[in-house]
Amino acid sequence: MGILDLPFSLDEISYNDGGIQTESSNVQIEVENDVKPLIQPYHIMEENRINSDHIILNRHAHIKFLRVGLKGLSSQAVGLDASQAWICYWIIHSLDLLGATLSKSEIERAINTLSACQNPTGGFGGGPYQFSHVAPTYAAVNTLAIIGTEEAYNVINREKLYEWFMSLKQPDGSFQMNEGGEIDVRGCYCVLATAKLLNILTPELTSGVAEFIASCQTYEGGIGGYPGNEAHGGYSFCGLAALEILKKTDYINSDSLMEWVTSCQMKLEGGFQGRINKLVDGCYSFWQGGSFPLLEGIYTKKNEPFDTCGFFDREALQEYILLCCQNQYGGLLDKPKKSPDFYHTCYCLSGLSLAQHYYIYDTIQDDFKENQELTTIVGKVSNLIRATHPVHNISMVKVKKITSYFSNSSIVNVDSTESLASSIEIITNKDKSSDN
Amino acid sequence: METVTEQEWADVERTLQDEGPYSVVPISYSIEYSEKMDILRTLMKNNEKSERALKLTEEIIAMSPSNYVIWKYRQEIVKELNVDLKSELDLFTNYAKENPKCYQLWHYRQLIIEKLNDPLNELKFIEEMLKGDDLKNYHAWSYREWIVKHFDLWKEEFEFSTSMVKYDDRNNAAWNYRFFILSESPYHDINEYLKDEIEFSKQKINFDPTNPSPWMYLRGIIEKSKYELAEFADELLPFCEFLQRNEFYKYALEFQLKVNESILKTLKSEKEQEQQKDICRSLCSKLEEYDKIRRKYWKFIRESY
Repeated sequence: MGILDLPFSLDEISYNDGGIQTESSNVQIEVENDVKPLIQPYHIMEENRINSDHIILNRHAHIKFLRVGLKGLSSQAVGLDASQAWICYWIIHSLDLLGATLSKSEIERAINTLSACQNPTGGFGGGPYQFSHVAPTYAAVNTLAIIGTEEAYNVINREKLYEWFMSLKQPDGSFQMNEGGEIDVRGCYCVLATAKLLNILTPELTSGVAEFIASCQTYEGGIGGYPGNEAHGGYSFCGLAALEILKKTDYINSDSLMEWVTSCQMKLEGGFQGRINKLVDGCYSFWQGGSFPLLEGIYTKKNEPFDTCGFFDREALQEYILLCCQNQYGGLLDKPKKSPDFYHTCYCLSGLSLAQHYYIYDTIQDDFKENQELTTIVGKVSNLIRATHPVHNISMVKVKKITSYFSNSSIVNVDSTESLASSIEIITNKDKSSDN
Repeated sequence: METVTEQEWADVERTLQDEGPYSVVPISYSIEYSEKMDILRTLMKNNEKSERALKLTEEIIAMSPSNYVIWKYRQEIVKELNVDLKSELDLFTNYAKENPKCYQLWHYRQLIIEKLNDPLNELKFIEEMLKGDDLKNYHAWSYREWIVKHFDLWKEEFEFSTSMVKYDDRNNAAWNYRFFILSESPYHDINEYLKDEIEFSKQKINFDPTNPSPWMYLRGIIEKSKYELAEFADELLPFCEFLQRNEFYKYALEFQLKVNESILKTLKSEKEQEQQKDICRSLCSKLEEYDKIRRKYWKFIRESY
């Protein structure tokens, strides 16, 4: 239904501090005051209301903004020196969602850069000459999957990468982000999502991960970065998606997670906050919005009927992204008055994709698929962008392509671990039978 | 422009970041940054652990604090040269204030404190970081949890959480911390605190019924204790009703629903259960109306009984 068609004035649904001002309430009111004038002209109670068909995704401006970034970044970006693999992912994934095709030269150059980030360990660093780190490894492999050519796939050294992942594994099941680095739920997701695409998801790699993630679920229902930490949108997605990969979503309380994540959608802005009593941010369109297809999948598997339109207000989220998070010269942003950047462009668009497309869990294929009859588009029909995969956040077709490419490759070097391969087979069969 | 003295590094060859022209997202580094990095790459290759290398890492960190590679290398040099860890900590205190959300800075701090095996004045430092920058800084709160657990500093932390909640009772991170103390500390028995905590939450709810943090805390703390929500129905349901004598509050309705769901679990006869389900369903209908953005969710819950 969205905010625009709600028969309440925007003032009626605004935040009310009840006369008690704190830092939290002051900044919330400030943001709402920035948001209101952007949505007001389209609101149902506005006299000369602008028809919502006039809400447009500035596709060309965004593509231009992204392509300029792909060519090169200014010296201001020095703080992102260790995030070059991420920038590749943010830009190339965004371009893919927008339906822009990479030129032959862009593809070759991207493969060159990512190869330069790769280390003999099989992992990827944040940039050339940087040692391996789990987060840029996820970003690099995802980018190569989006490029989707055999040459791109061949950059990846699965055996070495697997050994390196195993070297980061902790006794409690979690993973360090790099040798001697910090430990949190991000690491679990980045390792498992990468391993899933590359078909190196062994019982050794996955053991204990579900227990660790479950211990990070808090009394609020969401998941924190580490046991005891506050429930947080980014970690909740990472935790839930990792459990989905493991087929162990029953390790957490999905009802309380659903209750928490729905409570993070803002009643006036329509976008999501990352934590309770925090401000809306465009990037949580994906991090929070991304939990819905996964949770809906859980209810489907549990055979608990729910409305086919899902659990969150898909129109309201699209309204926030399209009316409040677009920069007219290209790029998307956190909230009004902020500058666009590649990170927010990527996660606003990914959130937009999830809000437009409707996913159902196909228990036979054991994967998500789209139900195109339930696609919901706010604004012009041409605002529709490509469907992103709710676990991997790369387009659905690209996930299919890379998983089928590696599906016949053996998981790890066979001569060293013959017994391992057979135990994997048993586990895989077990998984299949329990799903039937 | 010469930014790195030729003399100091005359003996060091430069290792260029040679991506060639055939790359994507190249950063147009400042001359100063590239020059320092070209030297650093060589030093790392040669495994040089010297005073000058130490100084160089600090200069680079100042320009790009989230570059995890530099931090790791610095850590190795510090170990080799036996650098005083306290001065190392002091050195990065200002950087932390300028980059409060940098993962590497917090992790490095944790490594140093772990090595020193002494929490020093870190609790004070964290408090300053929270109050000076962002009351909800995720890194600061999780670092505090680590310090407290690692060094067994639980005893005064309950009072600290009280002071932080009072500072801004909409700071959910402070509420989460309070929950962490009561559920993890070996010196605090959640069951003994429960009565006081219910009072504390009610007081904060009375103050502002639209603040979700104390509502969630209240539920969480009861569910974590040895009691069920239903056991507090006689106290908490009238509290919610009195609060809403003039207007409905979505968090109060949600809380009422949770208490009623808890009661539902205690009922044996089908007739009683059906009556209780009707109460739950009517609360959901109200929530569909007063918590509009979540109406699909509340409809699902209503239909699930």
